[in-house]
Amino acid sequence: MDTILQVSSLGFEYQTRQTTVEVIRDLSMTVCRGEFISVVGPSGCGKSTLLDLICGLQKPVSGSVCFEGKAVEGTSTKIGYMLQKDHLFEWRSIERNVMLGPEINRKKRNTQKQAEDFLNKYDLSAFSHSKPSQLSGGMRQRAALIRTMMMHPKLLLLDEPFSALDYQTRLTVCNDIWTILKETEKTAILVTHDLAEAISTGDRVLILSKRPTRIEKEIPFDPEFQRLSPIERRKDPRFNQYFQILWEVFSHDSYQ
Amino acid sequence: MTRTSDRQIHSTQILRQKQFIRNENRKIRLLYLLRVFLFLFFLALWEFTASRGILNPFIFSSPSRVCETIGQWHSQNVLAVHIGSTMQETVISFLIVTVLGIASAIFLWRFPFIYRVLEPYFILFNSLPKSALAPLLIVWLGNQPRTIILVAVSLAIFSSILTLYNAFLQIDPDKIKLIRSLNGTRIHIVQKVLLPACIPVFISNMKVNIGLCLVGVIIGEFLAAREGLGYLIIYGSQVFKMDWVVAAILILCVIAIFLYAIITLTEKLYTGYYLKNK
Repeated sequence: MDTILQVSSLGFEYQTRQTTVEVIRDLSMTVCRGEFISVVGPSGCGKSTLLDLICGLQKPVSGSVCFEGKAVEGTSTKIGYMLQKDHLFEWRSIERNVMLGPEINRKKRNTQKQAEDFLNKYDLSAFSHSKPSQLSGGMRQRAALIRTMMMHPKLLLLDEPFSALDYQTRLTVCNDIWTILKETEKTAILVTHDLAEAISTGDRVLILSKRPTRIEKEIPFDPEFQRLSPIERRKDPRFNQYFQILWEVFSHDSYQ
Repeated sequence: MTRTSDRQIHSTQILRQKQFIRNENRKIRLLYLLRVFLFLFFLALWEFTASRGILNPFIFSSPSRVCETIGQWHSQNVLAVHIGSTMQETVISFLIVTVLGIASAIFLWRFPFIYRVLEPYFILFNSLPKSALAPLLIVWLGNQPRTIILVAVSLAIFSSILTLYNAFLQIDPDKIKLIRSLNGTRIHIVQKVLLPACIPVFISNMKVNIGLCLVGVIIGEFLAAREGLGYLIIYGSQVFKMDWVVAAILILCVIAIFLYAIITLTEKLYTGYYLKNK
């Protein structure tokens, strides 16, 4: 498998009058095409910053991010970003929310049909003229995914995209979105603080340390386990074993 | 068995619902009735006390004298002139405040450092009673409509800019991050997020501004006009024609309500468009 993303000895910090806050120190990781990576870390450890750096919203202080062999400089439509909340605009219909990306990048003409196809495929066609507030949390998150997919990104960054949902919905939406991403063979990096969510989605899990963040440990999953959907994984006996391993790491002194 | 009882429950529910709507409608009718009654009662009391000499009609005027005065103005063809010039100055200053307010707020949002530089001056000019500036403006700019418009604009513009700027700052930074992650520029942020998200603020700000502009125009006309309702009030009080003053104030009440109603209508049209369309 070929490498799609290469992060090499990344460092990021910012200054305040009192001190310099070192957010990320010497972080390296490699992601292959088609992989689904989950990244867990304690809250406030700089997970979102890592994603911001990967998609070019912020510039690293040291080190580099290479996407498809080229250094990332500024944003590109090849990398899609899903934020914690869906941020659907209340003043737009679902259809026009989904069209936001093409609208900004002036590719409206041929994409209208595509938007309809996406909405059909993900069971939202009945709501294409509805306002976001008329949709359930799960449907809203699917609409947000379509908005990202409209730009045909090669890599998707998911920043705790299910954290705003209630527990039941979170399980099903997580399953839905995982299935969609696997079907369309997208590469994805999912950042979360929920260990169970990380185990149920990733092909492997990267565990981040406290600030300054680096990769504390990497846990690869059994290939057979990888093929299971998130809901199937939660029923699998290996799920608890992996959970124990992750729990061990997080119980370690360095996280207290 | 459950079926029939369900249906029975349902039919009594419909009855209760109808009863509820009837009560609500009755309440609304009473509301309007009382409003109109209050107005008519006030007029009648005024007319009665004035005609019996309890109130001195020379000082307090009376509804019939007001009607007479307005009739006179109308027959002398000056009524439309006075109303027209006040309205025109109010609408022009309102449009200037609206456009300039939004444009400046966007500019300051784009260059927050400039906002920080100017902040104390905004606060100064916002809290300064602008009527104090009016005499100065008249000396500088002369006795003409553009002075009056400037007085009105200066009254509303500073609070308008501050309100809009703060509304822009309230927008969730993640919404801006979303636009940027979709490869959008600053223009896209303004066009797709800032402006549409703040339309309710624009409208509430317009409601405040139309009132402030009317105040500004009247202050301006007190000092620098040969026509307009403010001129009628100040002239009337100087020559002790209280009928003039009261008539002009009553016309002002109607204008204020009318202008406010136009903005409310715009708001309704927008909300209607927004609910129905896309």
